[in-house]
Amino acid sequence: MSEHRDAREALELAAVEPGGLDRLEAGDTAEAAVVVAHLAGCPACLEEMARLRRADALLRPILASAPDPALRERTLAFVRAAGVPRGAAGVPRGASDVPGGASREPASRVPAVRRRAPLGWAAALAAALVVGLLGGVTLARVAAPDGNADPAVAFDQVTRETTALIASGDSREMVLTGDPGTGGTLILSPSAGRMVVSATGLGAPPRGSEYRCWVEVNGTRVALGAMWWAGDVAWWAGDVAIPAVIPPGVVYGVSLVEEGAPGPGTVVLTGSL
Amino acid sequence: MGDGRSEPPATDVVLVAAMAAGSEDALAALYDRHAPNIHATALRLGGDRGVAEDVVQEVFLTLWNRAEQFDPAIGSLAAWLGSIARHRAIDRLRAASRRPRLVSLGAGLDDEPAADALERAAARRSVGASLGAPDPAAALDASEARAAIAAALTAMPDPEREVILLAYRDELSQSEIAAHLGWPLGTVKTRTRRALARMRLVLADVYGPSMAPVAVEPAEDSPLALHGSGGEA
Repeated sequence: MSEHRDAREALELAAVEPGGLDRLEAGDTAEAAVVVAHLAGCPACLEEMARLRRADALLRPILASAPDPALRERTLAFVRAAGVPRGAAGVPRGASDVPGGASREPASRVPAVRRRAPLGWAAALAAALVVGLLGGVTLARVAAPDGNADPAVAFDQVTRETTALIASGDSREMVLTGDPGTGGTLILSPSAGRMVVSATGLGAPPRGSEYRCWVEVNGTRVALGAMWWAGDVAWWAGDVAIPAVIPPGVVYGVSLVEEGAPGPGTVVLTGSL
Repeated sequence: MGDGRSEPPATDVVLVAAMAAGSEDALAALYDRHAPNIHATALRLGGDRGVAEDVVQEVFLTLWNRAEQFDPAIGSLAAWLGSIARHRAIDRLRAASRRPRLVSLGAGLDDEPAADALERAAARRSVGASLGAPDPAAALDASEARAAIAAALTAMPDPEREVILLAYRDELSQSEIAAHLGWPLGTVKTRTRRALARMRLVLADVYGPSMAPVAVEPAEDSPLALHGSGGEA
């Protein structure tokens, strides 16, 4: 019986490699020759090989194009962050509402209704941009009548950058505040070395001016970059060396600055961890 | 429910309605059912896993945001999501400036829209394209198999999932997997066989018992003792 088991093991392991069963059947190696000899006198193992071939023909294209299992959680988190709010307030709806619905996910990992909380303002921004913008995404920064970038770029960049930073596992988020009607969110990740700043309510910068992000450490302000804007949304994303532990007193902000001027300009938003 | 039978799965219409009312579990159920096909479609069109994953996320965001636009009287949810996925994938291709591919694809078909050319080319490369006219029953089985395999992948122990994906998706040999993961070769083989056995049982559920392994030790009174009652497919 060990001969059967050895043959089965060889067949199964050969089946998972591209062309593996063909190579085994060719009997080119000593081990393969033993298996081939066994197959010649064993209808059951011969049938097993035929079944493995059939299974492989179906499995290979499916597994080759199977989504990464982790994509499920990432997608649900993405929708949670950027999707429009749904559900009656205060009335959680979960698996009990859905006969035969998803049951693999423990309720503790995917609460029935979690709207907005993880991303707060950034999610609101992304959600606002999603409406009407999903029809066409162009990654090229183009001049637009109401901004220096295409609104689709705003959606694409803010949601993508935000999602990526949150997925890094060590992201920190802070709220930027300013005059009434203005606000922003800054998300950073030390491990990713990246930061995304988004803001609304600032309005179009006056001709010849721009919104510029900065960080201030021990009273020294360092410019990070000029913001893109589209309609009512302004944003900036870029690589920044961020220490794992951000010391207290570090302030982040956005200023309105004359283009080409070193600053400091007029502070319009600030925040700290 | 005292008869031990499990509840039948909710229809797409029921799930979409529940999702529109705010149920994330319904969204998850719809993901489990449709994401594998959406991912496969996007991968086929874009040829890039990163693009395919972006498309999957955008499709489900669109589904969540525009659930009310789904009308089962017009078409199935799978068809609607597939259409969104194709458009998103083509948007991505255009944005990534992969137009040079269109030049050759459109040869002799100058008036053909770029999107059609892309889809036509993708269809040529698809697994089922060489099998002749589409067979709705086969397509349904394939769709079901994709979803079942994806579910099984999610549910199986991490080490088994890791080896089976490295073997099939990345086409690594057992030795390469052992070196890649730093595991003993024997461990890799054992986990691969376990994972393969799980996959075959999933296929047997969809396509019948002829996908299941033959019993290791044939019964004395039969040269072929098979698991299940089926024979050839």
